[in-house]
Amino acid sequence: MTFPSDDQLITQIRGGDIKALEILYDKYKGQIYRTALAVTHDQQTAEDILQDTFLRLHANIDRLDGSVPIAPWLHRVTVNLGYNWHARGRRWAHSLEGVIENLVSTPHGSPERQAERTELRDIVQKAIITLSFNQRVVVILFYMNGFNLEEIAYILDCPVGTVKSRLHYARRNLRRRLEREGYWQPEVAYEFS
Amino acid sequence: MSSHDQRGPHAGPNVVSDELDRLLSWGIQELVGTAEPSPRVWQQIERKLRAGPSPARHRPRRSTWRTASLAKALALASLLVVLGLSLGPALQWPSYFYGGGEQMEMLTGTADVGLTQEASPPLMAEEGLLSGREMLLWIREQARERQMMAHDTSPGVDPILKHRHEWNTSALTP
Repeated sequence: MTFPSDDQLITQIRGGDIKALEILYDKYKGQIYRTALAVTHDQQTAEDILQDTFLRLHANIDRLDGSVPIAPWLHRVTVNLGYNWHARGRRWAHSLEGVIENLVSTPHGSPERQAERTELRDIVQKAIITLSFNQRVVVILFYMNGFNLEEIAYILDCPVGTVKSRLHYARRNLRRRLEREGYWQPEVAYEFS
Repeated sequence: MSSHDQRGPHAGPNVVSDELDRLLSWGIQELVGTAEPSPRVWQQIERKLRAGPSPARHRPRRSTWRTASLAKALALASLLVVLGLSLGPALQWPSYFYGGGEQMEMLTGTADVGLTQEASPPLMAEEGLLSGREMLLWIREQARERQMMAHDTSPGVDPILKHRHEWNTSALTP
């Protein structure tokens, strides 16, 4: 079975085919939702952003260039909605621990190994959360979504140099935070895969 | 930061340059895991789409508004040009056009040409004329901006959808 391309789906959506939009939604909902979740840490907000993103996609379907990959465009809308949410001051309404417990599957291994892993995970995640919003978004797009610098520059509508700079300072801040917590020594290899 | 010139860490096997990259990548993946939105999100989208107007209905209204605005701006610009050229140096523009002069001058009016010629040097009139030209330029600039936005095929109208015009599509192709 061959799936229609994004371009074909966009053409069908232009013709009023909501089923085509649903196919596109099913294809991208996971990554868009997880990006929104990583940015906001709020499941309800992430779902609202996901919904809003696809409503805007539908409302602006005639403006989309089907020959260009749609994922960066969707992430741009997602991140902009995340910025709006952040600007309204509704950040970290829920405790991080609660969100993590709901989202992350139970790790395997011995109880000691699990405890170590959980501790390291929490440290890393707290370090990410303490980043400024701009740095956090770049880190999420780079490390979670695998976008390159040019794509991130497009998504954030800023020069590539700005993305590099934010990524550099984000990494530096994270390293310092991890060093303070005693979890980062460059010569030590961690087993976290 | 050698990996930062490449795609993100999940795009290829050889781009993870150091332990910090791996740690961050792992930490973020763990943060969201394989979370999926609830099925009600699509149901809400579908309900809103079926209840709301189709996207095609929005654009003509916006376009009509822009055309009307543009027409008004052009009419005003033409009027200013005609006024500026026909009255020429005899005209003393009201001070609020160029930000100078006394409030009283505005109130006494510009009809008394003799008084104007005596009281105000040609420079004054030129200042007024220049202000008119400046205004014309400003109006043209506004009209051009509106025109550019109307022809913008990117999702740039809504600030949420703001788009870089210089975006190079080749950067997205693997």
